[in-house]
Order: sequence, then C-alpha cells, then structure tokens
Amino acid sequence: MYVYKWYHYVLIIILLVFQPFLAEWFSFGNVSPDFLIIFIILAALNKTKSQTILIAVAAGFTYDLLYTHLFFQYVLVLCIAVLSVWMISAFIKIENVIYVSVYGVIITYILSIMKSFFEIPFHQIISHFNIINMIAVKESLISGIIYFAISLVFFIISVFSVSKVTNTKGAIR
Amino acid sequence: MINLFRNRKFQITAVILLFLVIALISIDRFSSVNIIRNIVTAPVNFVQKGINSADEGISRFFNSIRDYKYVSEENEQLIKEINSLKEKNAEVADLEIENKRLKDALLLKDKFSAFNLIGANVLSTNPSNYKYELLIDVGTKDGVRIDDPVVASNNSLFGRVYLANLTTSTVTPITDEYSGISGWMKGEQGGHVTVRGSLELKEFGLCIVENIPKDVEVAIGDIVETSGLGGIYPKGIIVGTIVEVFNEESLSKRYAYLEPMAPIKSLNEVFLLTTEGKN
Repeated sequence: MYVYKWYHYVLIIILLVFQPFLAEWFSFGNVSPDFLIIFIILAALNKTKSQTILIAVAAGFTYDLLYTHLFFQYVLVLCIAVLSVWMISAFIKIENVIYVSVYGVIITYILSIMKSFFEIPFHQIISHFNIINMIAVKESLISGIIYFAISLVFFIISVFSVSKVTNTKGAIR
Repeated sequence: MINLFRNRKFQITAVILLFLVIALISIDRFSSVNIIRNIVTAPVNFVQKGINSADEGISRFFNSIRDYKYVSEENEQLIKEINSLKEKNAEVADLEIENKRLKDALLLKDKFSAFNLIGANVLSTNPSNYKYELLIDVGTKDGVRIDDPVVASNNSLFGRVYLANLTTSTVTPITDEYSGISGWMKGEQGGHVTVRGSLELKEFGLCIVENIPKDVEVAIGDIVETSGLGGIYPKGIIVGTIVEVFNEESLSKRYAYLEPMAPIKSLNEVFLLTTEGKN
C-alpha cells in the first residue's frame, strides 16, 4: 500500500494551472524555468520509486492535456527525468546542495533538448541547433539557481531539525 | 522732618504725587519710564499666551467634537463621490476600448461577410520555451473548428486554430515554424509568395517570405496579404510588411523578412473567422 501525500497532487495542480504565469514571471532573456520538471526531480530525490513515477505520470498527462500537441509527450519527459535522477543517484552516493544543483542542471539541459524534438520540425532543429542549444543552456542555468535555492532551504531545515532531535534526546538522558 | 515722613497723611500725599508725576511723564510714549511696564507685562504676557493657547486648544477640541460628525459625514460623502468618479472613469475608458474593438470588429464583419466572426479572449500562453501559442476562451461549442483563421482587431492575420477543445482552443501564430501561408505581394506588380515561420526569426517576431516570382519587385515597406489559395485563409487579410530584402544572385532564390501586422506577443483578444453554420 503506497502512502499518497495529497499535498503533492495539490502542488502539482497549482503548478499546472500557474505554469504559463510562472513561465512569464520567471522569464529571463525569453527563457523560463520549467517548474514541473524541477518539482519532479526534487521529488525523485526524496520519494520512493513507485510514488515518484506515479506523480510524474499524473502530472505529465495533465500537462499534455493542457498545453502540448501530443499526448504522453510530457509523461515521457517527466519519466525520463525521474529515471535520470535514479541513475545518477545510483552512481553518485553523495547528496548535498552542490551535487543536487549540478544534477538538476545536467538533467534539465538534456530534457530541454528532448522537448525541442517534440515541438520543432526536425529539419529546423538540425539547421538551427545553436538556437536550441542556447535555449537549453539558459533554461538549465536558471533551473540550476532554483535547485540550489530550494535544496539550500531544505538543508538548513534538516540541520535545524537534526539539532533539535539531538537536544531532546540529550535532555531525556 | 523725620516726624513729617512718619506722618501718615504726608506718606499718602507723597505716594499720590509720585504716581501723578509718573503718570504725567508716561504721557510721553517715548519716555523711558514706560520701561516699568515690562515688570508686569512680560510675565503677564507669558501667562496670557499660555491661557490663550489653552483656550484655543480647548475651543478647537470642543469645535472639533461639534464638527466631527459633520466633517465625517462630508468626508464619507466625498469618498463616495471620488470612488464613483473613479468607477465612471474606468467605465468610460473600458467603453472607449470596447467601442474601438467593436468598430474594428464591425469592419472585419463587413469585410469577411462570408464568415461568422467569433470574438475570443486570450487566457494564457503556452509555457514552453520552444513554442509560442495562445490559449483562447472559445471552443467547439462556440463553433470553432481546427484551422479556422484567427485575426487581430486591426484586420491583420494572427494565425490559425491548431487545436479546438470544447471550451478552449489553441492558436498558433504565423511566426510558428509549422505555419505556412500563401501570400500575395500588394502593389503594381503583385505576385504569389510563400510566408512561413522560422525558428531563427521567431524570437524577433518575424517571418520569412520565399518563392518570390522573378517579375515581382520587392521593397522594404511592401505589404503582403493572404492570397486565398491553400484553403485555410480567405483572400485579403493583411499579413504584414516587408522589413528586409535579400537579393541573391539567382532571382529564384530571393527571400525577404516580413514583420506581421498583428501584435503577435501583446494580444489580449482575437477574432476567429469560421464557416460553421454559414451556408
């Protein structure tokens, strides 16, 4: 029996509804970060595999219904995001703010290139790959800053909660 | 002599005389004897000032209590009047915009009488970094069909309906890579051209004009409109103006950049031309 956290789905719904506006507000040089991918990657680092895949499929499918031309396009993108996180986590056991940000940048770059294959005619990707590459680099760097900020906040929270637990144990003893 | 000074009557008389002398001297306003007034006037003035200010304060306090009700009522009334004026101003501004929009729409309706004109508001844009599309608030239940032409209120072409859902539709602009239009160069030597979107030019809001016939002269500022060929767009919708011409050695390889007349990235409402229900 899986433990489904309702607030993940609420957060996803909010992200999906606000995605066009978030993209506009956080746009930097006509390129904006993809908050859904950021959320899924962070979730993949913290949740069990089945839960994360389920969240990715649900969010991806809803996104496809709302914004894309092809069904399951975004499901595929988000599932690859989750799989990439698991693969990287299997090789690199260290998990800290810098590593998470670097994972994030690399995975976002790959996914951004991948998204372009669904949205732009193939011959234009080949002839204008420099433009695609520039967009992907910008998107991954902006996302990297967001990964850094979010994981730093979580790190600070975890440090405080660990010290609080240690103090409580000390007091009991 | 000493007894005289001790005499009560003499003392009273002397004091009266002194007072009289002082009184007589003080008749002259410039006399230095007037300085003695300061002995009294200075401290009294100080006290009087205090009393006066206290009196004014108390009077103000009581007056303000008396006037408070009146002032607050007046203030409330004024605030209501200001708000009402603000609302009226906003309404007038909205009506002006609405009026202009409807006038433009009326022109569109006259020009494209063979079509039903559907007005739509832009709900959002596609959040993708690679696509610019509009999500509008009309769908199949309003008579929208896939590939219906979409125009801006200034009688210029925006694009076409890419997807039509029940209550919403996705509109692709003419700058999109998947967009292609059969255009007509307006002017003395008109001719058919192809206008298409390009990944390279999309960021700058431009399209590329290709397949320019050999006998057609192209210059900056020339206007391109839809030719009516191709089956999607009716004839005569303005597409945009030529902003740059590239004359290659071979005339058949000439091409130009076109700036759409429709404000592609700043539209809040669009009009759809549909034949649904039209015979």
